[in-house]
Amino acid sequence: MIDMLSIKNITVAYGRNKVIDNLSLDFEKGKLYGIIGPNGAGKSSLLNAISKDLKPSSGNIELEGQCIHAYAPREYAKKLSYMRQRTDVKFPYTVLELVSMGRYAYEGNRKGSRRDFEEVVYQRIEENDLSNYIHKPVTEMSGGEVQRTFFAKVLAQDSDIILVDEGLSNADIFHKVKFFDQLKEEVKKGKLVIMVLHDLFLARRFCDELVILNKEGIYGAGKSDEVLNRQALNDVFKVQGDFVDNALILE
Amino acid sequence: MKKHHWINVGLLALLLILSWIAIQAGKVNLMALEPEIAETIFYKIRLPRVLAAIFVGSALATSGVILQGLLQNPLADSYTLGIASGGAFGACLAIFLNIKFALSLPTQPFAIVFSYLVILIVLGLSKAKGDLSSTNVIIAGIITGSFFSAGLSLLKSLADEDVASMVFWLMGNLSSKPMDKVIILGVIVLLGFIVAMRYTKELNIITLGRLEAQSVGINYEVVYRVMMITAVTLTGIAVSLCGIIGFVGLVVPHLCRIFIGADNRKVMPMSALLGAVFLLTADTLTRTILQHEIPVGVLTTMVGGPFFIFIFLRKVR
Repeated sequence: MIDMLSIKNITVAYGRNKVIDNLSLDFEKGKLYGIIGPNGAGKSSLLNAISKDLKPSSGNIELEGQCIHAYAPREYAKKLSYMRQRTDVKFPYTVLELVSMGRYAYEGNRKGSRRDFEEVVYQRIEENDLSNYIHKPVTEMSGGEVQRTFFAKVLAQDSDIILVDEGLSNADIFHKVKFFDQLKEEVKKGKLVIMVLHDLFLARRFCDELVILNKEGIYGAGKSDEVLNRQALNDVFKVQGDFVDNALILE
Repeated sequence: MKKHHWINVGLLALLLILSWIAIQAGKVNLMALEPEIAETIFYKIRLPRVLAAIFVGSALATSGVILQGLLQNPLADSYTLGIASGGAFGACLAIFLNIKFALSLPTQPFAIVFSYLVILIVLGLSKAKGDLSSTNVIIAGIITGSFFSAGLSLLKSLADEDVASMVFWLMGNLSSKPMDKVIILGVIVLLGFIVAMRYTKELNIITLGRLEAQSVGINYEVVYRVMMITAVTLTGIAVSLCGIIGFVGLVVPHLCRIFIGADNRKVMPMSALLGAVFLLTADTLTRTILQHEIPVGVLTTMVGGPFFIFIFLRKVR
């Protein structure tokens, strides 16, 4: 089976400071990957390289066998969407307007027909419990609600790969769990989700596979409960502790 | 019909009524004059002035909508980027050279060329710094704008006694514009508006930032440049003909957003209409109500200033 997304020897640097040094990784369809590691390990930079926000200084990233920079903007938007950490809106767009923006790549062709458009957009709004706010300006909503609106926009983009940086950091626990359930649903449909997260409990509980990064590169990668263990906690996160039913118990 | 359609129809009707009043209003009553003289006044003075007010108002408001979107900043306009300062510098340079060397250089092309020069410098600086993110562009705009403002002050001080013609030009006025120039202005404003309308959907998404726009599939570099050139052309042509008329580009789009929200597909046409109504009203007032005609740029800024404070305080709340 061809790996869906293949990262080949990439180096990402800010000036002379290399945050990712010669890193290679493969991602398969139908899995939820978590990327964890201490601050400054290059987790977000890795997502930004995959999303084309950052261009690696060497190496390349291939999606279905083709270099990602060979895709036209609209084509790439159908392949990949990105839920960013920062979600600030300066103009009073309504929830409906904002979520609709996720459908941009499909507009003007058949898949973007009006009925299809409304169906997808309204469905995603409802799934994220935003139906009551549909005409409310996002500038008047709470941080967690805005994040859910952005998540609905990302889902409305209906891409094969979903990148998530931290996810719903401002949401309550109910919506956090719901958020993972929705991602799991997407994974069941054969999509690939790659998520950077800091909460080790959520990482172990919800991710199929984990990639642990530290300053030197990949510390370990594999099944969540196998790779994130007592040893990894000590080596990478410099804390003494262990997991009991996915819960982190510190000593 | 939806709410914004009704508002647009209302504004269009208002604009027509205002135009009719503006053509009637003035120091002399057209009806009481001999037909020949009345016709001359109508075609050479009143009509070009009314049309210039409409086109310049639309141009400034439309470029305001575009720039606020591109810069992701509801308080941006052509002054933030130094475009107007560049245009003003160009025009004053022409005036200065004409006075000092007894030339007859046209001010208009100078103003337009310098508006473009400013934006080339701004985009070049932003690119050199990394990318066309709004922070880079705004900082580059402020630097470039200050540079040309200083250049403008230098020209004024060098002009010495002849500074009056520059100052009058800078204050902005719509009087005695030849009809052919007004028609050219109208055509350019219409073309600019059509281009701007074509990319309103993209502009909506660009307000979320470069990265978000690229993520949903927008060809950011292309759309950004096309829209920036459109905004500069609209500002440049308006400034070159009428001098500095402040606050229209800032206040009008804001007023529209209060009524119909942020969607630029609605904000753009409404702003173009409201900009025309606003400037035509201001210009007609300045030349009829007061004993001595004051430059319309002064009035728009005096009305715009307090309104700006209102917006500012409203945002804080």
